Amino acid sequence: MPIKVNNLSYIYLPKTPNETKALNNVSLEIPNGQITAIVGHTGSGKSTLIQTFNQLIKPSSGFVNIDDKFVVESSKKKNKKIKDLRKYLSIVFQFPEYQLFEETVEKDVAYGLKNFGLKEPEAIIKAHEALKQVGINESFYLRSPFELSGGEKRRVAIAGIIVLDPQIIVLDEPTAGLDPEGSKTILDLILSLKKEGKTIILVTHDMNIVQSYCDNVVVLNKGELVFQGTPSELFSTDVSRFSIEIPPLYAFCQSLKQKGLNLDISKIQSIEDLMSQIKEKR
Amino acid sequence: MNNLTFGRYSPYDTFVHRLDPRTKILMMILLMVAIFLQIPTWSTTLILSGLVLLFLVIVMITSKIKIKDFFKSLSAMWIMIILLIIVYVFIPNPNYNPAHIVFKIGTYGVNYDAFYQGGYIILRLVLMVMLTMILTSTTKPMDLTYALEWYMTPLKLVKFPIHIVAMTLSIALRFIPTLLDETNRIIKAQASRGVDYNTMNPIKKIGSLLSLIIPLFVSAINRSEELSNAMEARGYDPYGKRTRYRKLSFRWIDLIAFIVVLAIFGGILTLRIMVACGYNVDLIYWIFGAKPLF
Amino acid sequence: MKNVVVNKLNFSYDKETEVLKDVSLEIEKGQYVSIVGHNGSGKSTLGKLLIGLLTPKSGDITICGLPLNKDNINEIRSKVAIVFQNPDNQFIGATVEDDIAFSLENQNIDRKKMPELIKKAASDVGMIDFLTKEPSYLSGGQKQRVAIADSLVRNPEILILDEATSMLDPSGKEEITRLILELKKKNKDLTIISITHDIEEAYKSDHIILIQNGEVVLSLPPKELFNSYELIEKYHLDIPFEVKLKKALIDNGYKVDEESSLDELGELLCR
Repeated sequence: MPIKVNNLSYIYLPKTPNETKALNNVSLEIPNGQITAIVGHTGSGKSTLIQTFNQLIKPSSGFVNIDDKFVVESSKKKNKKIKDLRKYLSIVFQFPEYQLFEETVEKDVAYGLKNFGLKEPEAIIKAHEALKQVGINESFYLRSPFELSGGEKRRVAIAGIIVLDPQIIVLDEPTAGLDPEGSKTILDLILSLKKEGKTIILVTHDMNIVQSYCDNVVVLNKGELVFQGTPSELFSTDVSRFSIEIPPLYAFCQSLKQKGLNLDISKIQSIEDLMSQIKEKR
Repeated sequence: MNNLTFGRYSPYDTFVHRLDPRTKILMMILLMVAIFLQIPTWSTTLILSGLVLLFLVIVMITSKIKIKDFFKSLSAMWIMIILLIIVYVFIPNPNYNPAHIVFKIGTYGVNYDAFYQGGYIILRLVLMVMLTMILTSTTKPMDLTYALEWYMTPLKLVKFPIHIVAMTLSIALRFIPTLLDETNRIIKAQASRGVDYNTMNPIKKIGSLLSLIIPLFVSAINRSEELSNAMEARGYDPYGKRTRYRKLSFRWIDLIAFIVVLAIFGGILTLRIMVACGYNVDLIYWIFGAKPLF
Repeated sequence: MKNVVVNKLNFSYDKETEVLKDVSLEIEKGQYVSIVGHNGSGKSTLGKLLIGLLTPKSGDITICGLPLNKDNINEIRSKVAIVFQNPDNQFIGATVEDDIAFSLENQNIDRKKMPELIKKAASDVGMIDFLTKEPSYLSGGQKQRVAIADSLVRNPEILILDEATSMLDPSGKEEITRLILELKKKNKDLTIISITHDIEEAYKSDHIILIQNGEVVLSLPPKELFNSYELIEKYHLDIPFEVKLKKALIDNGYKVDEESSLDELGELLCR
């Protein structure tokens, strides 16, 4: 169990009229080596939650235990292992292309490694490996990152995190603003990271991604944990109250169920599954 | 980023909030001048400043500015205040009256006058901070730009593009919160790449600042391009004729407020003119019939 | 009547790469047209050309009978409105009402008439209760609603949506898509051009124009497009759920009417 979240609360602007509970007593566990989706609409507390994972935000109470190696808690004392933690668990923020700044693509990817104390030649070699992994052509390595297309920039930015070789990678809306082709490249990359044994946490609005790529899903609503399970379990429950949009297939299955058809939605993965279930009923 | 609360607009609907921003700016200028008019004999100046202070405290209370917030905003000035006192007390000044020496440190005599002069400067600073705070926390930033634009109207005669300046200013104000959010986001993203913004090592510090400033610049340039597209698509022509939705209007409450402030200003100005004409202006003497203490 | 006529349009940002090649298309008044294509296909460039933010290298554009040129540009911009992708970067005013007023100010409208027009536009997009709110207190969906109100207040004949929902979360997307369909119902003469890569959204429109590598490769109604497996294969298109479902039903021996909605298909299965 790499990530254990225990009674985590975070109060935004405490003791002011604008005081809000961004997270309220959240407890959950995120399993190793899988892709876990964190889902919830804007303001549900999901970005606050992931930022506590590498202590960009300190919780107001409760703690996060990461692989029994690191603990993020509310105490005021300095966490001496914070740098190690950030190398062990890295976050790729939304629109990561906005964090690029070096003169060349390879230098930008190597930047993180240098912050963690690696010297130039090795850092560049590792950067090349990471760039290869995200599918950036060698001819781009010495170009300015600002010359690339939107999808390429995004991949370079992700390479800048992969190069740190973190055990756990958190990605916030990695496909936002990309076209279907660009999204697919990123999602395939995420699958290849999973195959390497990394633990992936994916914050996303897109239920199609949850359905086709994720092993587990966590739903937050107004700062509280409201669901934890597999995607098909989620789509067979009534999710309208969490204001998330389920894929059309499941929306259709649920409408069939309402019309009186007895379906086991948790076993449905595709239209074919739906058809065969209907055939059995006949 | 959360400590930028000084003088932030607070959306109440008080008398001061309702005043025309142009009136408020004019009144602020009048009071500032009044504060800086110095009248010989410390006691008189102190009494007059005290009266202005009292007036401003009343204004602050009526416009629902918390006195606590005011002290918070002063807290950044403590160091300056202490430095001022040191400068005034320990640097010899030939203008000080040698008869006013309080005590001696070695051969150097600490003078009463130094305390009064230093105290007076600090009092003036405090009054200025109060004035600015009253203006900015009761006036929307946008209204301030409208008022500034109005005051710049005469510059039209020399073909100065006041409308463009005002538009630039208002867009800058509109984007401050957006850019602050962006800064926060980039800081967090770079922290995930191991950047330590609290480092003391100067070379590393420059590097980490670059990792913030360059992305911020790039994003601001992108934004400005999209913004100019949006403005142009919505028919904005900086040199074309435009009507205005917002119109400032003077009302009778502006007149009342202005008369009050003018009275204060006029009173102090009259005293100053009397001094200039050679009269002996001494409030203590006038009121109590007593001789000036110093 | 043709509202938009584009004839042999060529455009490039620099000398090397041509962004649009010989693009010709016609859009009928009152139609809801989707322009579909990958990022970098040139579809957003086309949108910017249509309102004169960019100047074509060659070819011509006629909007509502007026050729797009320097003399007509202001008149054309009063007839064509565009909503861009990023909700933050098109919010100009300090508050919702000031932002809507910005469009009116540019048109030199008497300020006494403004409050009424602003209120009408704001209530058309469901933002009447937010008039005095600043952008930082609004969600992405709400900001895009305001952007649409900015357009509507000028009473345009053509509304271009340039990936207007692509930065929104699902509820924001849903809000905007529903709003567009409502507007379409209320004003039959409004031409809507939606530049998008969301195939489910394009499926709901009257007509699809597919752009690939700067060329118009297809221009036909969605039903025709998705009935042809040849075309779907050829252009690597995603298939909308409704189309997939209909095919599965036919393969399983159901009799499916081409026009039937998802709800009717559900009824069919439950029978």
